[in-house]
Amino acid sequence: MVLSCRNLHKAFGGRSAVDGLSFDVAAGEAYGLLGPNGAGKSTTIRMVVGILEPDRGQVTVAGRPISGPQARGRDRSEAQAALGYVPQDLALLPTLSVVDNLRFWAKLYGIPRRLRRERFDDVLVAVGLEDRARERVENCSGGMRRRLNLAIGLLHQPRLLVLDEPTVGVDAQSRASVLDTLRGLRDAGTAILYTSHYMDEVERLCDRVGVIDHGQMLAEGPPSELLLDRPDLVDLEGLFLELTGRDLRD
Amino acid sequence: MTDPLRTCLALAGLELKRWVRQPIAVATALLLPVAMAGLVSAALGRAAPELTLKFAVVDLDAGPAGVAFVDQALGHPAVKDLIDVRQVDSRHAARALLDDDVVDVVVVLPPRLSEDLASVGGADIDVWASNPIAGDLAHMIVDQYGIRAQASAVAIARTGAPPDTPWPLEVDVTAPGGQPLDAARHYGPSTGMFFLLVTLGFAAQRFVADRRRGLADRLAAAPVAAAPVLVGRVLAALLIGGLSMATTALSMQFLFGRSWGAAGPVVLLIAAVVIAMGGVAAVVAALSRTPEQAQMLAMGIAFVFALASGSFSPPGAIGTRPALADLVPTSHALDAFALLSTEHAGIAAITGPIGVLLAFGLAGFVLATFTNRRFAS
Repeated sequence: MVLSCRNLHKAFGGRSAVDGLSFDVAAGEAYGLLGPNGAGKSTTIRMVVGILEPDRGQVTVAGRPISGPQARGRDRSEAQAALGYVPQDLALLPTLSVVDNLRFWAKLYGIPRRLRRERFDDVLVAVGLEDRARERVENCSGGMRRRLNLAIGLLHQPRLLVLDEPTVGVDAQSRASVLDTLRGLRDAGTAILYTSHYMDEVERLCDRVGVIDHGQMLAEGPPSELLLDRPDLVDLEGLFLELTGRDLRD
Repeated sequence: MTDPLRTCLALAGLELKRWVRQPIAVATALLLPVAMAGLVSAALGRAAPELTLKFAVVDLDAGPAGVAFVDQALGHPAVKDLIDVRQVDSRHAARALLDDDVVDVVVVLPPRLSEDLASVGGADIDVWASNPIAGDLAHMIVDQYGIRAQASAVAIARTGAPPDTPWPLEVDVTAPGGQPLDAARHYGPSTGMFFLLVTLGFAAQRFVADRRRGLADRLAAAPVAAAPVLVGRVLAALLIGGLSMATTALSMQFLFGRSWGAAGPVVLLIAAVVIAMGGVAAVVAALSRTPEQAQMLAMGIAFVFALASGSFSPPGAIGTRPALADLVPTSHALDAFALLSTEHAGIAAITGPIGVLLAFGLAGFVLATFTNRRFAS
């Protein structure tokens, strides 16, 4: 398994955000983590990428502990080097150009100078920004920024790609482009952990999904298999509402 | 893990690149201080009376020596435009005036001063001052006066007549090689420090903006240690701050002819000021929730520091230390800049203020890092 989460617990001020969550993601697999607002998705993602320490449990990436009691020094940084993180926020440098943004992250990930030009070309082509490399990010559209946000996560060719709602607020064309890119990566062997509120995206991309609420796993499996047990439900969204209820969330 | 030094340099380079591409930040750091230096020098020309210190004289001698001190020493052409003199009846009344900041310095001429000087025995003249500039000037005048009076006494004892030249022969109001503190020399560092803090406010603004847009999270998820990331960014901010202060100092010296003092001590003092203000900016970055809040907070602190340290005080009030002066780093810096520019003092003379500034900066960084992890993250 490229990603393994075991019995994760996290509480904030006595309120449990993640409560005994376990799941795995294999190479070449896309795993959708679904849940309503406040279900514990973002907390889980932050523990997976090593930003947040779990109270209990452990996360390993590419066999190295990234969070938990055994996550230390070299193991942790090797685990972080094996993952690409695409946060929900547009974590970009707006006054710099597209390629300057890539250059900065290439330095941080230790990509050798001789390889950088080729990598920049590869990821820009992958996200459809090859003609906009010199454009200042502040002049780019929302969709272009989303695609650059993804390109940065791909730059160091990670074994695991973690995406937190990567298509929020973009047009259908950019969404389609992002999903095409992700399908290509998955088919090439990259493990993908994906969260989104768009159920159709998850159905189209993910081999397996985990539905969580109140920090606990409610259901897990391939979307088609989950629906097999509930012939009264027509799609993943129906299952999701059935599992998590129709009450409005904060 | 990426080499910490490489990480540090990458972050420092990134900060510098972002600063260069933020025209308002560049203008605040480099152009506005030069413009202000020009305005200060033009408005407060070299020939203008630049400083007035208030002297109170308690003449307990009531003899010829006391009269000579007031008329000839304090009335000497070299100092008469710099000082206002008033006679006070008692030590107690003079002390009250000094404590109330009505006067800058008190000179007490003791009883029997005329007789003591005439007997070649010398005399102790007390000087009390509220600030170093007034104190130094008063001591110079008193010392010159005493030496000259004793010379007269010796001449009378030997020849039966005073020297041909009237005493005091000369009162040098400047230290060897030094220059009087003028308004431009006071306002130059004041202006520089004001724009320094505003400049560092832009760095704090970038910190907060990065935190809000998820860049800090992305950095935390990268295979780099937190310390080099923070150090790289802080070093770049301090470098930009130092560049701003150096620009003010150099433009004052080369464009407007107002030296801040010897290069070595000035560079050290600027470095200490930048570190102190960097600590303040770190606290601003840690406390602010939005970039706008960070910039407003930095601007507000810059004004408070300027007011509390007397940066905006008119030239005549330079000797008067505001009540909260000791609490703000800019006051200590201004004291040191005054020593460097008026007396061409060396590093030894400003170790105290430099120590205070470094302590202030260190406290700021520690406070920002350990009381609010948002700054370090």
